[in-house]
Amino acid sequence: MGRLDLQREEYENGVALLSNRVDCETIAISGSIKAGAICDTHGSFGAAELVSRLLMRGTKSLTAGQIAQRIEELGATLSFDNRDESVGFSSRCYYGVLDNVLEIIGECLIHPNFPEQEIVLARNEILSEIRAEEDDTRSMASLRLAELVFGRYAPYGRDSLGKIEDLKALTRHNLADFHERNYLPNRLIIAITGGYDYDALRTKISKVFSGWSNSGTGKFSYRVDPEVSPQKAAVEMKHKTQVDLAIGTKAVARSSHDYYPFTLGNLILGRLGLYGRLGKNVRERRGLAYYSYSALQAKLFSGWFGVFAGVNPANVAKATEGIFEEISKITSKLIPLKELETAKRNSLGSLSISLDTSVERVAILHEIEYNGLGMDFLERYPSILERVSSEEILTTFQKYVAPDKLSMAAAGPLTNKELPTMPRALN
Amino acid sequence: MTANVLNDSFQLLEGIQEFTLENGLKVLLKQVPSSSAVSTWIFYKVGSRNEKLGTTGASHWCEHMLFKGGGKLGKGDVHTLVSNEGGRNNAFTDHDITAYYETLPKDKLDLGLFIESERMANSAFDSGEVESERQVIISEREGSENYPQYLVREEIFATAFHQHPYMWPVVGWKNDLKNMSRDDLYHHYRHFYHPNNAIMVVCGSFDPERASSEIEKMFSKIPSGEKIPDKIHFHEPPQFGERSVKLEKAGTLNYLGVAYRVPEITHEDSPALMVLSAVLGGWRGLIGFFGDRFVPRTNRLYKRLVDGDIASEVNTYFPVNVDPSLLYFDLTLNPAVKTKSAKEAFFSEIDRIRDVPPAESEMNVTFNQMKAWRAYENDGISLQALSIGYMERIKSRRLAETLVQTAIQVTPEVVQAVARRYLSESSRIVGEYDSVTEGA
Repeated sequence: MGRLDLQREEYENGVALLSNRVDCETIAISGSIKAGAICDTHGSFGAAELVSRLLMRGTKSLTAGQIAQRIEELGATLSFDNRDESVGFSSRCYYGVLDNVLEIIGECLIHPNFPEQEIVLARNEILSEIRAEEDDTRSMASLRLAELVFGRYAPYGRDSLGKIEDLKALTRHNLADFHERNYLPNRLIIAITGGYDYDALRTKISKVFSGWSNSGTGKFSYRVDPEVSPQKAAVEMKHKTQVDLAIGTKAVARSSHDYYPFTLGNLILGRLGLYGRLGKNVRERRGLAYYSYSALQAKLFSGWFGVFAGVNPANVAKATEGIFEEISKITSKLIPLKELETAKRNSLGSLSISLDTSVERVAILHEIEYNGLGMDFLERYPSILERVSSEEILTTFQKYVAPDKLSMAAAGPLTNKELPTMPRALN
Repeated sequence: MTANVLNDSFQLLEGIQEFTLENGLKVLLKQVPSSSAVSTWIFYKVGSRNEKLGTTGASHWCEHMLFKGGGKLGKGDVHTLVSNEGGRNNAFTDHDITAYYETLPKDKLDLGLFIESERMANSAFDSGEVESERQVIISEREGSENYPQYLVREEIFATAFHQHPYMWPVVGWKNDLKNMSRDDLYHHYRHFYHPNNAIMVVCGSFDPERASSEIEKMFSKIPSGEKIPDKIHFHEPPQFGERSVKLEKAGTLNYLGVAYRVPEITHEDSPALMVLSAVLGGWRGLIGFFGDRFVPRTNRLYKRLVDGDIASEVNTYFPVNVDPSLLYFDLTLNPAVKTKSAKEAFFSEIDRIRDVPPAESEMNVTFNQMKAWRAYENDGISLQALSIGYMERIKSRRLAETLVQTAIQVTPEVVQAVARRYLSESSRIVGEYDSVTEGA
């Protein structure tokens, strides 16, 4: 794998900068601040989302219109995106305007002023998205599964967009308070790649962010409830053509020792080639679904594993049977060495190809910093994968993905009664 | 303000080597020595515009069948071979084009070439596999049917075109998908998949001499096919007056789609129409394959509809098509907003641009975004190969560059003139999705 020339700088107030200079006239930025939905408290679910949407809608010195005008006039892009743990941001620009873009990012993160009119607009935008989700089978199946796995109001179990009644009640004061408590420099990561001058970049970041202090008291932690029993539930949407299935369970945090066996097993089960073993069974052999894949989301405090498929209502039972055939296999039999070697080669090759594009490269830099993987991660990665054995994958899957640990959610034209029988004691 | 900070040094087209094999396969090689990978793309001049009623969706279904083996490739081998090397591969079908690619480590160029040569010459279309794929494709279609925006778009295109094949969706009508035979598909494949109806693009780190020799070795034995004229015999008759379609279906929000007839991308008005489209709805590149959550907010439609608390989302799609197509807008309305009031607001913005040319600040934003997106949408060797091949299929690999370079010279008055010419009530098609309570 190609070596990346990485530079890391941590400023006195905790702002972390990870950068990779390449000869290129454009810049890609990927950043985050740990002020996502996990920081929402009961009664104000949605504050994180609303604050994230207001970052670009008015600051102490710029109106929403001025921010948009400046970014677009520079030929740059900038967006903020609330997630369950953090608010991510990404930007692209030409190297000649990097300073201007960093100033705007700093202004948005540090000095939003939450104009009342903008709050109304951003709130309505979120309410509209929640209503759109309610009419989206894929979203509803995933959201329902998250609730079943983590609990309805748990940070990883609830919709990061928030709750309608809470969103409606949030005031400007609530939002400013949320920002003050949670938007802290020691929660900020900035990853940059492109054709910048490193010394100038360090100086600029310092100039933009060094006056910002860690005065907030917001909590950033989450103790995942270890015991949530597997359940199943349907979200009935009679007017839809297709049913979306989501079957899953709690998984591991990114820092877990089980992460690498889990991720390789997941690759084999539902991603490699055209959706891995699941694709071969449900799509290729049975011809039941356009998509049938698995996903592993390993986060800071825990994670989830899920299998997702979109099927005709008449084929829900057959598709579920195919999915469980594969889950049973991966939780009971060792993965053949050749298949494991393929997965390892794929992981390494795929990472190497990702590094070819600046947007993917900067996302990897951000991930390295966010998860504390270390500056030598890319060099260590081949040996980390090399050490994973079929036995470890089997043990990991037996530990987390045994069929009796799985919950199932389905959204579309079917009722709870029509949910398929799962092949063990869930019913 | 910032026109000078964006230089013109982005050089996608520099250093492309071109040659054509005796059987007519056009090859474009673009070296990017700094890359650790190589991306092989093949573009066929076939898409839904080459289909007929009864076999709509054949091009897209053929694309699926080219993953099912034949010749030296077994079923599923394409994915397995590429995965084994840590590569990426996929394919897509659109109105005018079908494309396949493999992006692999730089020493694996031969694998990409091998896969594409087998696909071009020897795809089997096994009857059992055709049947198995039938439900997969119907499932793909049914997944899309779950989305109101898809339903509105499908209705608008079907209403806009009475004769031209752009009238049906690329995936095809469901009834045709249920009834099309293996022979229909195989005939489609044999008719359109041959070297003189294809363009190959290789982009990345490779030795050009060796690449040329391998391409020659693997593709030159494939016989030419019947020459297929790019012109098709469907000329859409003129539209006299607004066409509209209404959908009433259960749902939670209302949606609005509006389309205007615009000429083929090679038409002399296209650069001005690009600027018009950007002033109205923002700019996110010509091909639009680049995933970015950036939402342009300075454009007129965003300001009026999103800042005006009418819609949560407004998307603008500028068409890059061989034949005259549609400049398409879709709006997701805020809860309780009716399509009637959204239409009024939308049309008032259209009237405004017909009445008043864009301001200098709007032109500045548009030009700088257009220049910047040339680089953004060509990030990495896969997207560069896509851009080169896509434009070559439509007309010439220089097309995107020419369009942008011409667009950034357009004056506000010309933008106003094309707005008057093309954004007329009599040439628009309106689709309304009114959500009703389930079971009502």
